Amino acid sequence: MTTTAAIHPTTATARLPNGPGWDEGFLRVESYLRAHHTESRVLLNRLTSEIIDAAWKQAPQFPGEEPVELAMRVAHERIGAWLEGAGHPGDWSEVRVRTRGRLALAVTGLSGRWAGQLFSTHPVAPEFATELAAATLHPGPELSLSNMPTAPLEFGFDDAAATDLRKTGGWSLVRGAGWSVGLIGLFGLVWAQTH
Amino acid sequence: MAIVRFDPAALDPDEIARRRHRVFLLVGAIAGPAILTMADLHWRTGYDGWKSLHLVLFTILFGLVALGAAQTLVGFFVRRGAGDPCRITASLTAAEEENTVAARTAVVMPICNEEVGRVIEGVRVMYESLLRSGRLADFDFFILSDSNDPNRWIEEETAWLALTQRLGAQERIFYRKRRGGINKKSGNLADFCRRWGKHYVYMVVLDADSIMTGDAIARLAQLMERNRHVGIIQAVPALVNGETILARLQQFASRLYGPVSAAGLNYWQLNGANYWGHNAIIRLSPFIRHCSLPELPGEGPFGGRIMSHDYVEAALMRRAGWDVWLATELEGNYEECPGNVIEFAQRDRRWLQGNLQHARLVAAKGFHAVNRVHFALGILAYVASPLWLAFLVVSAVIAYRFGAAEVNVRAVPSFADYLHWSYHTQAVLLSLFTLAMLFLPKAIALLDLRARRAELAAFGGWGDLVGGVFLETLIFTLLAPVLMLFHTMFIALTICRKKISWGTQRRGRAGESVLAESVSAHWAHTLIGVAGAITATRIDSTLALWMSPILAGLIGSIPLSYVTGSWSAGEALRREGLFKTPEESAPSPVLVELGAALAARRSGPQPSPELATHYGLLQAVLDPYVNAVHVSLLHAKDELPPASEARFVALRDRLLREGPGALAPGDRLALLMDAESMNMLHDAVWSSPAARLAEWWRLALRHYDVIAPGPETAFSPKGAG
Repeated sequence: MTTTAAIHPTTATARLPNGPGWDEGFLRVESYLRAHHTESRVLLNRLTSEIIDAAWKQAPQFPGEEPVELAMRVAHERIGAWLEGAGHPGDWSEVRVRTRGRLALAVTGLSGRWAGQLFSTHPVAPEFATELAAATLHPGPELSLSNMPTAPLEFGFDDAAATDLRKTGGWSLVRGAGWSVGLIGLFGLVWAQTH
Repeated sequence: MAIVRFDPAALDPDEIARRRHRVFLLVGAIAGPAILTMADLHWRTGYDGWKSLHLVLFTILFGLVALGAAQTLVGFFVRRGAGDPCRITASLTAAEEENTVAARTAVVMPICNEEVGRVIEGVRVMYESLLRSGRLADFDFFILSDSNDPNRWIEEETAWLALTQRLGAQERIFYRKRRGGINKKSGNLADFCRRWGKHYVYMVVLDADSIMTGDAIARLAQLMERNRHVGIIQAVPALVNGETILARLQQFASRLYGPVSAAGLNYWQLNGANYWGHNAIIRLSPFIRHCSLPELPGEGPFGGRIMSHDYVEAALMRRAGWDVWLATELEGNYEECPGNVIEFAQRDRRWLQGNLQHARLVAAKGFHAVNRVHFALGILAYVASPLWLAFLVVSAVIAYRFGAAEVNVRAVPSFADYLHWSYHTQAVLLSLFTLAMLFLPKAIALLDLRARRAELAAFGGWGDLVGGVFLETLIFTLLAPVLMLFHTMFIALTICRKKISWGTQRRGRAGESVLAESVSAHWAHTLIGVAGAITATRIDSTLALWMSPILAGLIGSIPLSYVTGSWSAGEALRREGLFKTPEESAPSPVLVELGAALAARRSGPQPSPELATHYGLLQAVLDPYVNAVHVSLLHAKDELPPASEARFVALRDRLLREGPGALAPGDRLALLMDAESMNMLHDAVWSSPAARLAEWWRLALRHYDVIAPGPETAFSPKGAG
């Protein structure tokens, strides 16, 4: 099993691979680690150097692969190893597992309370490890499905008016009609008398 | 003195009928004499087809004016003293208002490509306000996204997670993005109801620009708890956060005239009120059982999917036997409004299409008469514009014929015999009466404020208030004909099934007017104004004088639209104390917090222009955390996209080799919705040599170089709260 020590820089690398491909690999790995919010330049440089060194050593086993591909594969292994050491086990060669690991880091809130923990050479805080292991997204409560039947729609007047009428005993409708007829009648009368 | 609590369940149906008859009679009493006078004017010169049409148009339009005036008059009288006893807010005693809410309530905010910062900060301030009020325990928040703009979508996801982390609200504030946007907002809410409706007793529905204090949200829930026969309570929100002249003018007018008008509305609506789609609380169980929208028979514009859902849901709720009330005096309840004329017209276009469709529902079985009235008034609110235009044209034709034929006033029995009015005096008096009825709501609102000293001071005192009313009247008078032409065009386009677009909806600083846009939207109005002025002057100089406010508004529509949509002009008026509202004078803490948070967000860094167009995709693919969150949220979905894997392989390959610009928007969205593709793209971009990647990806990767400033996400150290 890989331990957290695997990602910790242990020695200053005396002999590093060179050439444009390895330069690109170095830059890519360094950028990727930085994208994880590793802010310490010293830590970034040392981690990246180690990863490139390891990738360079693996190169003969993967003759068809470009340095960037080799370096990123090692970078994923190292990140996985660190997460495993921090209490988040999994098969880190699996792309979905790696995603879950990154999600755990995002949910735990590396940018806030646990800033500086990521890839730290010190053992991770037990609270951080606990949170990391339990980290999950809650986009919603448990589903509890309801049937929402479409309201039927028919056309034509009816009924609710009749219901209203029953409630009011019809008297209010008669009164309303009386007022309306009275008002219109009044205006009609005025018109008839003056024209 | 014993506290009299209103019990809506015991409301006497006779009292409801009496109130509606009174308002109806008042409308008749106002409109009747005016209509008779107009009929008499035509009688004195002899009827023909034009004059008959003129009278019909006048009757409809004056009826609407009279309804507004009557409603305001009634509102004024019921607001005196202790106010209307029959209002839902009077159903709680002061002691009951202090109680905690014992029912689970979901506060839901459906969004679609809205400004994410505004949405997130809005949710935050409401959440914290509920927390401070000690009533958070029974409330959950839901951001229900239908966004199909990848930039907005990805920003929503990251901002939501950052918000929950910041507030420690991982199981209190939820985010759901629908895969498709079926049935728009009503479909969005229905989807929530189907998934999680059973968990909650009530649902407080908000718009993306709604803000409510914790107390207001809790009070709505308490009102529902107290009144178990009520299905929906609609709160009347105050307009806030306006910066341009138009936005500040709307919030001033709505704040000044709104309370009196709302009191009048409640007077006759009572338990048959309407639902406006937001700032309302809904009882979920009957809503789920009875309010799923049916499709209308036939195709658009009058058939198919119901576009304007709120009125219909209120009618369905009433049909099922549940009451719907308007809460007229609920403090701490706000929304925002469009900042410029074009935004205003765009919003009207959406509402207009929906309201016209309700024409079918006026004759649907089972609805209560009051809901049919709501549908009819909703339609008339927009149909009034072409009717007004027709009225102006017919008036001009009659004036032309009058002049050309040298028609004399006939010696026939008429009102003139009794009132001794000349034809001219009678016409002038009728015009003055019409104007008086139009301005009555303004005068009454001022009168109403006379007894409310604190509120008057919050408006800036009589000087600022009267100045504001004068300027508001002037600007709305000039804008009215512009909106009339907009509405008329929209109705014609809707009937002809044509679409029109001026780009995406903009709010906040982005909602400021743009000169080119103003010219593009109003050049035709200007030409119509000029042509109208020439024609009216040729017919009769008096006619031109009468029509001058209308013609001036049209001729000056471009500068008017541009200036009223300007922030700097709005700020200048604010400095002068004009259009001040109580919400501006003494803003609620939630508004202050929201304003400060948005100002801080606006000053944040922006992505580089080359990457900005597809910045959401960039982050979802490249950023390790954004990618993980996005993929995880996709996994949380209960269905997979039907597209074949072969299609996705080809799309991924093209995206990597040619960049996002080479893909159609639908293809980019399809990739973003496929968890497998997003996982693979993240690995592929980071692991591929630059030579195999499109220039766009190489540029995107450079943003993660140690010497470059890091891309800004809600998870970045700088971006995290």
